[in-house]
Amino acid sequence: MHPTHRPDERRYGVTDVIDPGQVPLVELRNVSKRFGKVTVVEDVSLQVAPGQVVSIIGPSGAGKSTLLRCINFLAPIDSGEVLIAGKQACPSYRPGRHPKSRETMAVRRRVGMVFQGFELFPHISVVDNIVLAQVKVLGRSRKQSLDRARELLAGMGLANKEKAYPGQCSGGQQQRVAIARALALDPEVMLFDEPTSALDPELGAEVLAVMKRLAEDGMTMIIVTHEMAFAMKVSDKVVVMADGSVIEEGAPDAVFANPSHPRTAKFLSAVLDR
Amino acid sequence: MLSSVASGILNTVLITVSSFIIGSVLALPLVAARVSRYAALRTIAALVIDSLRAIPPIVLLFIIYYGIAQGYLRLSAYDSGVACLSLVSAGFMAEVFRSSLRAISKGQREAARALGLGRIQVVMSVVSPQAARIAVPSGAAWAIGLLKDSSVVSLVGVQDVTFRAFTEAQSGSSGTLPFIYAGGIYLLLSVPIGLLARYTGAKLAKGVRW
Repeated sequence: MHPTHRPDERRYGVTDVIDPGQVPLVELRNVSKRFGKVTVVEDVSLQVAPGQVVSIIGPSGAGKSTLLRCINFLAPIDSGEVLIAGKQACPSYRPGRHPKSRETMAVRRRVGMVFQGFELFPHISVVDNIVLAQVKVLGRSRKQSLDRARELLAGMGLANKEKAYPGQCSGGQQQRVAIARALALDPEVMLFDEPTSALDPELGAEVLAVMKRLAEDGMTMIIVTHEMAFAMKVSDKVVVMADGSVIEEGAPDAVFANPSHPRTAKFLSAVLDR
Repeated sequence: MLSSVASGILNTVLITVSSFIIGSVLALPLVAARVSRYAALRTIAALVIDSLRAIPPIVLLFIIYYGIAQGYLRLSAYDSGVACLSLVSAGFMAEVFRSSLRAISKGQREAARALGLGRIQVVMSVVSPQAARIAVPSGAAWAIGLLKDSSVVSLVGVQDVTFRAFTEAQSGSSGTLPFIYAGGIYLLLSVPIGLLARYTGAKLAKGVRW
């Protein structure tokens, strides 16, 4: 399912060109989301191919995080469609209604998410944070779940933190545990909501290194971020949002070097020329 | 004289403990309704909780003992006391539980849901264990309040510490000393609850589980 990528292939955004016969792993069609009278996401369409890494950038309040939450129904959409691997994510969902738990749970089983504030469960140990959903959601045995958790922790360089509580870990460690917690469920796509925004640059770098490796391993990723250098280096596609809409998208070098929308140029000069 | 006053300890403790337990259990459906997604349920629960908290225990006790218990339901003075204090506790503990639930950030629930946990699993595995820890210090504070409030049952003739002190004061040599003893007993009984509140509160502040 996951195509293997050579690093140079990624750099030139070759994978941005979606094979017409290939079904996008995640597809948004004309998605809108309102909170009360405020339209936060307006008529956004987006395709993410299997193995693709897509960065969503743009000014604060552009609706980037909300768009991400629309994908796993943490923010049920008001209009449009969310498709996973070509099928309606929640087939019986009608805007304005609560989506069916059974359907949202099925979506979330396939779509992992990492939050800005880590959101590890503070009352259980690091390893139990990673075990919990494996047992409750996937029905794995505790033994199997522990093995998987330990393997992931070791991969993150956190084997010695197994029995620690989240409060005893640095922010960078907590965020890596949060990534491990999501990966333990073997998701097909990972959503990252500003994963390094709450971290100082050095700790953020630990997290970015893990994410880069994940991208190289072929994980499909959608990343809301303010880390422009990372978006530039790691993504296949950059999506620029402003005021709830996608104003520009394309290969990172094209978007960064040659933005076509004046709003993009303004945003990029604000973040890059500081 | 002291031993006579102290003979009421068993009743005082039994009434306090059973009212606290029954009240806490009754508080669970109340708080579930209070934070439900259905507005009608929320309104009804809010009304019930506020009423239970607004009515003075002594008034509620008289309603139960002289009103309801004299009719169809045959309730002893002791049972009326437990019923009254359980209801009052249910109202207070529902509020304690609700504010504990509110202390759990929305992000925790979202993270749990994003992992694919169902609504009940989110509550049972993520929200409640954290909320329960937060509830312990204020629950203990309420338990101390309840211990003192339990003295109202003496008014319908339950032989608790206050009742014993009262009869002793009327028949004995001193009108004051029995009440001083009673005060000392209430103080001593509340010390362990207070220590528990302190201990768990301190643990909580450090973010360590116990």
